Formats: sequence, C-alpha cells, structure tokens
Amino acid sequence: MSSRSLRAVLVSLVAAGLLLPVFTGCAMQRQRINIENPYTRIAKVRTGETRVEELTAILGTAPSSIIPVPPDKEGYVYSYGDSKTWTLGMIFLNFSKTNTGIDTAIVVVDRGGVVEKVIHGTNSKDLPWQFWPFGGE
Amino acid sequence: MLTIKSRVAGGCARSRLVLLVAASLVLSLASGCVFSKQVTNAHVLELDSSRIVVGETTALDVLNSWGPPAPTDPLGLLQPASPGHFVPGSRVYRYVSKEKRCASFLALAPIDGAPVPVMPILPFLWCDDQPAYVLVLEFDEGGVVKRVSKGTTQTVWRPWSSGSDREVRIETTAMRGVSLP
Repeated sequence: MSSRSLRAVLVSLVAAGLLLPVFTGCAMQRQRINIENPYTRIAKVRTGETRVEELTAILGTAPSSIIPVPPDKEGYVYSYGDSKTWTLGMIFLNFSKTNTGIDTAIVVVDRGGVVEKVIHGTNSKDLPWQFWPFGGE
Repeated sequence: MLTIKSRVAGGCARSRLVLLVAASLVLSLASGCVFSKQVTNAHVLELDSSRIVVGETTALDVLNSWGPPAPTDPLGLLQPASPGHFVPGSRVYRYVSKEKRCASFLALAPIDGAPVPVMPILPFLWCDDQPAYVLVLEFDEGGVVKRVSKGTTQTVWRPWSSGSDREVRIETTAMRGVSLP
C-alpha cells in the first residue's frame, strides 16, 4: 500500500473515531403501561349504554381493583401510563431525559351493570420527547 | 541524504497518525459523563389549585376537574396502600409530580446504535429523587375541602450540589377552625 493511500486510510479512521461518539448516542425508548391508546379506548365507553361485561374488551385489560361506591354501585379502577426516553450521546457528554405519566381511571357501574360515570386522569397524555435534562420541567 | 531525511519524516508523520487513530478510538469509548433526568406526572404542575375554594369545593368537583390521583411509579399500581393509589371515600387526595436527576461517569460503547456502559470510569452513580410538587387536599366528613397544602422540593445535581442546597417550600390554606399542621 502506498504511503498516500495509507495516509488516507488513517485519516479516515481518525475522522470516524472522532465522529462516532457524536452519532452513537441517539436512542429513543417508549414504554406503555397496561393499556394501549388509553384515551381512544376510554372515549369508547359510553355512559348509560356500555355494560360492565364489555369493559375488558373495550379497554383491553382487566381492572386493577373493584371498589364499592356507596350506596349500591361499584367502581372499576384501571391504571395505565406511558414513558418516553430520549438519550443523546456526544463526545464526553451524554444527556437523557425520561418523561413518565401514570394515570387512574374509574368506571362507576350502577346496580344494573351499566356504566354511569367515567373519571380519568391525563398525566400520560401527549408526553413530549425531550433529551435535555437541565432546567425547568 | 535526501532519501534518509524523507524516510525519517515519513516515519514520524505515520506514527503521529497512528497515535491520533489510537486517541480517537479511546475518545470514542471515553464518552462517559452521563446526565439523566426523569420527570413523572409533570401534568400535576399544571393543575390550577386557585380554583379550589376551601369550605366549598367538593371531592366530586375535584375528581371531575382533575381526575383521580395516581401513583408516581408503576410499582405503586400493585400496592393499594401506597400513596397516590386512589380510594374513593378517602379523606385525602395527593397529586404528586416526581423528579429524579442522576449523574455518572462511565465508558460507553456504541452497541446497536445506543450508548451502552462497558466500564465505569468512576464506580458511582449520583442521584437525587424528590417529590418535586405535592398537592394535598383534605376533606371533611361531608366531602368538602377543608385544607389545601402545596409543597415544592427542588432536585439537585449531585455530587456538585448537596441536600443542603435544596429549596423546599410548603404553603397551606385551611378553613377557619381547622388547625394548620
């Protein structure tokens, strides 16, 4: 191999070695808890129409617990959430931020087994993808 | 003479290049300062507690506006007794947003496009995990708000800051006749 081509190879290796750390660290990770697309599924539960037997099929999961709601109703408690992590790696420095939202939904069912009310949180709605860990939220 | 000089010069340039290659390979593995932050339930920070009127707002009003309180970690979903697990009829609702900051010094190598720690430069991981914002609503027997407490706790970057640098604020509003904690 001539000295010129050897030099070219070595320069390429140096450039690759310097650039590699810049591009190695872009990683995005997502974790969903219990219910896929929870808000779309919850919107399908109709008060006054949906029956308790249909809840598992609509929400895609069994309730976390069933609690009495005085005087004669029941509350089906569902838990769900979402977590997004973005990691960015550069020379000497790597940044990572995880945004997690966990929610509780309660479906109140009357004595006849018909949904009377749906109450749910929105902590896990529209979580942003962020990699910068410093400052504010 | 000229031939010897050019050979020596070429040899020096080549060894410099080899050193550069070795240094860049070491650099690619030595990208080890890792700063990470995890924020859970950031939406709680946006809850407008000024709409809560002590002595008037009921538990049902709170549930309709904000939804039920939720835990701040997935394991809390399995533990009914943990804070944040909603129990209707409970006289206390806790809405919590949590923040965790971690810093470490690791040698990372690109594996499958992601930085994977292969060797600790320093075998330590510094973390600070705090309930950044806690909003507590207490209800009387009739389900009416009798006390509202808001607490903020600052999370710090260890090891550069210690717990004594942390700023903590608590604000409580109560009905007349109800004592403050």
